[in-house]
Amino acid sequence: MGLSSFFDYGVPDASPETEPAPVFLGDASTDDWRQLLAVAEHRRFDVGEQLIEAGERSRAFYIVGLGELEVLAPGKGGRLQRIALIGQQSIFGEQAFFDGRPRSASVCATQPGELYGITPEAFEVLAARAPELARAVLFDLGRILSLRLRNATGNLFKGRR
Amino acid sequence: MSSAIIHFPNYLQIQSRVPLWCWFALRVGSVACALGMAALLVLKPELGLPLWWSVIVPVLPAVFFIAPGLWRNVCPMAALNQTPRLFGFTMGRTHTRRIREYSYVVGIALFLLLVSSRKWLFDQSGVASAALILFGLGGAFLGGLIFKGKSGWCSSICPMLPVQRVYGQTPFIMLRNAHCQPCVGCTKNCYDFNPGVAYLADQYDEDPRYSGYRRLFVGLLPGFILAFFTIPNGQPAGEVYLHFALYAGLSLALFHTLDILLKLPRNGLTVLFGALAFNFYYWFAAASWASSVGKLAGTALSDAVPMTIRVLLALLTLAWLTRSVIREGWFREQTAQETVNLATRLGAGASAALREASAAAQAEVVVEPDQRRLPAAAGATLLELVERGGCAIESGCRMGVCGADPIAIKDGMGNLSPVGDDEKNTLARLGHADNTRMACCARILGGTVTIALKPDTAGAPIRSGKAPANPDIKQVVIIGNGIAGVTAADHVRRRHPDCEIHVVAAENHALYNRMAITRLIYGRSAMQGLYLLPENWYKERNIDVWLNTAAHSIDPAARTVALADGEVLNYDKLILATGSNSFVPPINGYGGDGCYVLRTADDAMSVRSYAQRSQARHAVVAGGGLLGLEAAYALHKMGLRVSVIERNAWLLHRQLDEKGGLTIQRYLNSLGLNIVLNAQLDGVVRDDAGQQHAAVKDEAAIPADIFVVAAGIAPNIALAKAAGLTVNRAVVVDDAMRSSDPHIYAAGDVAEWQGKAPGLWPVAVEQAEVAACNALGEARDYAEPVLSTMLKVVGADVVSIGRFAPQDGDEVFVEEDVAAHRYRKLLVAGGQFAGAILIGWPAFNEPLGKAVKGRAAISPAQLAGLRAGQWDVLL
Ligand SMILES: Cc1cc2nc3c(=O)[nH]c(=O)nc-3n(C[C@H](O)[C@H](O)[C@H](O)COP(=O)(O)OP(=O)(O)OC[C@H]3O[C@@H](n4cnc5c(N)ncnc54)[C@H](O)[C@@H]3O)c2cc1C
Ligand code: FES
Repeated sequence: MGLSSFFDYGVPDASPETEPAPVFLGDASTDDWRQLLAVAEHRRFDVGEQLIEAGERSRAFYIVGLGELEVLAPGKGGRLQRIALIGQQSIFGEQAFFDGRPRSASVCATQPGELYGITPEAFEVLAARAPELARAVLFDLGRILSLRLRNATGNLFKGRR
Repeated sequence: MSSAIIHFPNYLQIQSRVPLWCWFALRVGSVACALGMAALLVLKPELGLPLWWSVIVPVLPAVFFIAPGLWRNVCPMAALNQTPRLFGFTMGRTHTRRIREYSYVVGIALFLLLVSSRKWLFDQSGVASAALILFGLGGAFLGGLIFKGKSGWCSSICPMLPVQRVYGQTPFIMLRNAHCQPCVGCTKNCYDFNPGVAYLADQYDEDPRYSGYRRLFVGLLPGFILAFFTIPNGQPAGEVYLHFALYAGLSLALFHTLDILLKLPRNGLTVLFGALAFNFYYWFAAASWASSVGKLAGTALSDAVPMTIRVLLALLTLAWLTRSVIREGWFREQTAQETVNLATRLGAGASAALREASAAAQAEVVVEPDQRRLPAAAGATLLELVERGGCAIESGCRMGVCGADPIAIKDGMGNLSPVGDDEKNTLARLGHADNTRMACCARILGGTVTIALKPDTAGAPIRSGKAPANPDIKQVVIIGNGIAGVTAADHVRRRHPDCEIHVVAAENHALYNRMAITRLIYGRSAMQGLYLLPENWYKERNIDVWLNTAAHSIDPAARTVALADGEVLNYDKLILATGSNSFVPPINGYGGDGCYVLRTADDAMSVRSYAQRSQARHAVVAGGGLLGLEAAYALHKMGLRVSVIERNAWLLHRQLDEKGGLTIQRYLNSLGLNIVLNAQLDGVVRDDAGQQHAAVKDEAAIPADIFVVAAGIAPNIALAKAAGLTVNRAVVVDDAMRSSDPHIYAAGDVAEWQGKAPGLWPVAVEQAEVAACNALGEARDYAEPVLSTMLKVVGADVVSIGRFAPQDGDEVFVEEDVAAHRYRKLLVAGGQFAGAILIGWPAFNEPLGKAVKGRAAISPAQLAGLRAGQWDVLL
């Protein structure tokens, strides 16, 4: 729904076309979250700080606790263009978490904040300690990945031919 | 986002040029005119018909083209449609999914039907035309009554809407929507909300059908218009429709053919067809309009009028085309920035946990050079923090003795825990600058600490200025380049600035972190990361190191060491630090392909390359001790299906009691490791298919593409034995680390002191220092430190300190948490901390480690707390 900003009607639920953002670990308790955060990498960041560089090989997926980030990818003429904003209390980076391929885009902070990274290694520890929770994590990541994939294929469809 | 405002303002961002009351007045007028027109058509069709169909209607496309907002604001249908909302009696329903999808299609169908029917019906019948107007007004009103906003007519089924959308997509004059106060968000890609972008948004919609309907319409429009002007009035209805269908069909076919052949941007062809339709229309309509105006006015207009209209509109179209193309470019640029939707939300449980985690981490470590900021809870080691912060750092012992993780403290040294004894020794051996700490030992106490992961080099080369401890000693030979050998060399040099020091090393590596070699297996570290000494370490200390050279024999009488390459070294003092090898008990079938031990870096690299080369899938590790489990974990991380077979009733039986062993077993099980206890290994066999198995008594054969033996150590005593030294399991030494020959000392895995050869790194460090001191004539006795071991399996958090088996009179505290894979046990003997097992309690590692190693006295308050089950009194 890249077009939605043109039609920001300012009315809640006005546009029946826009699906609500998928929820990560909707059923998890605060205790579950504690367990998850306990295995995570924790980082603080300032405005303008680059947290991920396109092409790097890191494999964590991230939970943004606070702050706001932008996703940058090279656009026309190689200039970096913002392709998305990531708000607080959301997740990103799950693609490399699954496939281990180089990061497809860079991520920079637009507002100071904190994030938590879960590497496959940390995930394995979680899976051994709390298999139920780990399954929920995996399932939700898969769901979010799939929705984003749909989004991307949608864009392919309408994009340049 | 500012560019969105410039290129594609929505109606709230458009300046209103005309006051609102003005629009209301105009609307009252337009409704009145429409009703008047209907009356005229019924009463005086000969006047009404040409006025309506040839003069008024032909103006509309041009209005849509130039200032579509004008029509949207004054259209009498819209006025009636909005009346129920204005006076608050609309039912305000929302479209269902079906209506949302098909209302526009209905609009298109109505348009096609009504316009083609002009040919045989409306153009000739005043009554029919009047009915059509009333139908439009009535329909619009009804729609407004039922549906919210403009979704009941104007933005859904109005037959004029498809034409407005095509022609009005690039307005020359933008007029603010004067109806919707406020916007109720009734329609997708609302034209009134954002006139400049609505049509583009339609074209780029994710749903191919949604854009498809719109493309279908514009594709047939030029043909449809040609059809209109190429069939005379008064034909039978059937023929009329056939004619229209033919032309529209051809037009559509052309559109789709070009759509496939031309590589235009998404809206390119639609703009082109829109322009064609528009100009076709006026090419024909201009003449009839001029003549009708002339007729009605009673005076013929100039002959040049139609051509002027055509040319003017054609020129305008060129501008329109150009602007449309440019605007699509803007649109694409802008939407490219927004095409990824990353919006997610966290579950409700997250907020509190995130708040807590953030509040717990008041301190901060800043890692240079990229100033990475890692929040830290007070008490955490820099190693944990840096690892958790995703930085690359090596580690080994995690207790300050190996030297794997030196870092430079750039700022905030005062915010760190003080340097302990083990760390001090290690720092002295490494000889980096004064601001160096071992990350595993330095705990942040609060505030901010800035570090760099690479230690700074010391300013002045290290050279002890002291007088030599014993000037008679000119040559010291050390056999073995492990931690015992290197520590001994270091201490000899510190005490003796100018004797010759030779270190003979069978392996072709400078000192490396033997404890971390399993990391080579799964690629967590490369060999480069395992080296423990700064480059030039040997050279700066003037130590001769003979890499890749085994000592062949010792002649104690001549005090010489013969090397395998024929060289002979004289010594005044000899220190044996040959370490140990893996102990391999007799195992039937052991020794073929895929059979390994893990003692050297080369062993680990061979396992790695064999596993990759042979595409091994199953591994068996014989031995459930520390090394066995670390090897199993490494193989597991490589993706192999790993089984551990252990003779004893539980894992790590030298470090843990049974409960502890079961706890770690459950953890490893949930990682996916298969553990077989009380196992009696019958041998390694290959079946007919060539698959290797481990045969365990009373168990099904376990596939073992790779078979690793981790059954303990066998000290390298061959040299000593041949030289006639007293050897038992290892080289027997006294408290001074001296062997049965007064000039030969032994330290590390190869030394046996009081019947013990524990094969541990800190022991090797301590013994090597004692051996070096005594070799140079300083009298110093070895005292065994309280030992602690740690299982280096990520997430397992297993630490065993001191003894774990209770003796008479001990007070024992035990707590088990099966679900969380946690276990802790504490032995108190004679009022002192005597030993502990900690599984999954990292916060206790340091305080208890310190207490047990220091044999600290336990306070009455601590005892009382523990008895009440409150372990936190120890923190
Ligand atoms: C995988 C693994 C994990 C371990 N984990 C831990 C742990 O967590 N905690 C702990 O305390 N300990 C641990 N250890 C044990 C620890 O590494 C040893 O106790 C320590 O390395 C002993 O040091 P050393 O110098 O006595 O012997 P070694 O490190 O064995 O060094 C001896 C050196 O002498 C060389 N040598 C032998 N014979 C000759 C010869 N004839 N001529 C020349 N050179 C010769 C050998 O090639 C070798 O390089 C671990 C060991 C391994 C293998
Ligand atoms: S890991 Fe820090 S010194 Fe061994």
